[in-house]
Amino acid sequence: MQHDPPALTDAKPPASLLQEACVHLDIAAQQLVADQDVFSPNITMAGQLRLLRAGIQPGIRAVLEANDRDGALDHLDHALALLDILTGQDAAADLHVWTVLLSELRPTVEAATRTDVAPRPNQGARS
Amino acid sequence: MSTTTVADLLDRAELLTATLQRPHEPITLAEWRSFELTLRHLLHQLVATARTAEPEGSQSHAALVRLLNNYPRPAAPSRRRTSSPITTEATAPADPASTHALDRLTVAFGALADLLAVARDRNRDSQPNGSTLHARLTDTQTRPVIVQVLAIAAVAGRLAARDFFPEDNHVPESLACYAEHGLVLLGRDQPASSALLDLACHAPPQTPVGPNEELEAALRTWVDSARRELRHGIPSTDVLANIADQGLHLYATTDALLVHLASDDLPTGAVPNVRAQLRAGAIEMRRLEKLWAKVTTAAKPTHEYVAAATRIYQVLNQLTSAQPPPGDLDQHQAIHDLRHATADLAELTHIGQTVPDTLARSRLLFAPARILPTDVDRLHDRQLGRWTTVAPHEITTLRRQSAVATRAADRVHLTLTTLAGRRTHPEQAATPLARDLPRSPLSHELSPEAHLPSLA
Repeated sequence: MQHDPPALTDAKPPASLLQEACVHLDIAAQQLVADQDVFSPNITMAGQLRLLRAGIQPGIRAVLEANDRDGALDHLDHALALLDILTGQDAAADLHVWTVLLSELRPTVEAATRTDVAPRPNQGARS
Repeated sequence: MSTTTVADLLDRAELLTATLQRPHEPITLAEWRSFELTLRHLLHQLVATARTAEPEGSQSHAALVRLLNNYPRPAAPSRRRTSSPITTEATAPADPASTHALDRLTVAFGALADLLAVARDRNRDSQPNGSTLHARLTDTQTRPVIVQVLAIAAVAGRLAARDFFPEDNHVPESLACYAEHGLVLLGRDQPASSALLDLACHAPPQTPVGPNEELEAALRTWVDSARRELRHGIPSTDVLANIADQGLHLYATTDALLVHLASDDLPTGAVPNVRAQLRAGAIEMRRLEKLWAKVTTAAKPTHEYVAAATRIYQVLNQLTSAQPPPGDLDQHQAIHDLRHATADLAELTHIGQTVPDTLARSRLLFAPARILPTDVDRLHDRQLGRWTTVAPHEITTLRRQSAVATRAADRVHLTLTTLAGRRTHPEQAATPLARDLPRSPLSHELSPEAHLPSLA
């Protein structure tokens, strides 16, 4: 999948690929929780994404753009692609760990972003 | 079952004391000495002499300390030795593998003392005044437990005296007298209600098998990791946000399990209230998480915490995504484990409550300049999209929300505890052993401390 560079961050332009990957992860997390019920599984999933993003680099926050056409899974894939490039280079020793954990989370994000996901029985009014 | 509460240990101690009435191997002096020392250690943990009492309770606390200080010295046995079971071995801890009822009682008291010692350490390290844990360790909550312990000691002393020859039976009886006087002074009729009874220790399985063990192991690992993370001088705000997030997940999972249990054997009228509290608690946790996500200390979460958080996320997700829950899941046990985790969550949020102020005063808390009030000094940072330090007066919302979320966490735990029907309610009767003891102080002539303190 081809992605346009996301000009969505506080730090313009992204200082490094690492920061750019973190921006994508933050956008993915924000998109997952947009207008969700408080008991939605997406909220905790987004929390996991943010925790892993903090492990890579804390203090990166993205601003959502109204005309962003990519979904949460697209942003996660983009981040993983960037991290794959970095793990082969002079990256932090633990970057591989974060990348593996993110890869393990991908199927859950994919399942959640499918439009036919049935709500949980305990999901009620939106908070 | 790897969760043990103060109530469980006291129940066990009462049962073991009752078995002393049946025929048993004679009690040796070494066994009795071990019991005496363990009881002293337990009372020391219950009274907590080093604690500074609140001004309004200082007189009552001082009386408890005097009661502890008057603990009798071990009485010397008679020199005349015939076939008495008394031996003069050095005092050693009771053998956990022993099948003797007194040894098992000593071990139960020792475990209780250890549980309290760990809780006292945790309370002192985190200094969370006003937290659930702190409230559990106040004199109001420890006193009913002290009464129950003294009642057990009094009965055990009287029963043990039967095993000794007449010239030596003053050894256990002196302790029995002390315990009986203590009961008179503390008031044996006071209700057995105490939040301390619900204080728990956990020994999760090392190699969990099945969904219940998986849940318990994951919960305990996460709670322990979160505690360690919060002890860091500069904790990661992403961890603080994640704690709120995992708390929300705990509530969502409990709610999902209650949906399936509601039609079975839970009081139907109580479930909607519990579910409402869970949802209200989750909303407050969500708000807190959002606020923590806006700031940073630039500290990374540790690998240990992330691994524990990932595990608990996966386990809870499996429980909530499978509807109905897995067939091999004991749902009552799962709710029981989740309830204990909600107490830990309340403690964690309470500790987290003090963090914003500490960090802001140390100028270690940062936020994007664009979300902070405009200031001449910040214009440059704002234009460049940088982060800047947050002043203490700018975290009012975070501070307030931390307090609100903590109160909500306390309410959720209380509601779940009420649903579980533990002995933590004031309407419960007095402890059976204390109630059944004779009304008048016994054997004044045997009492080594006829001048025990009166309680204010």
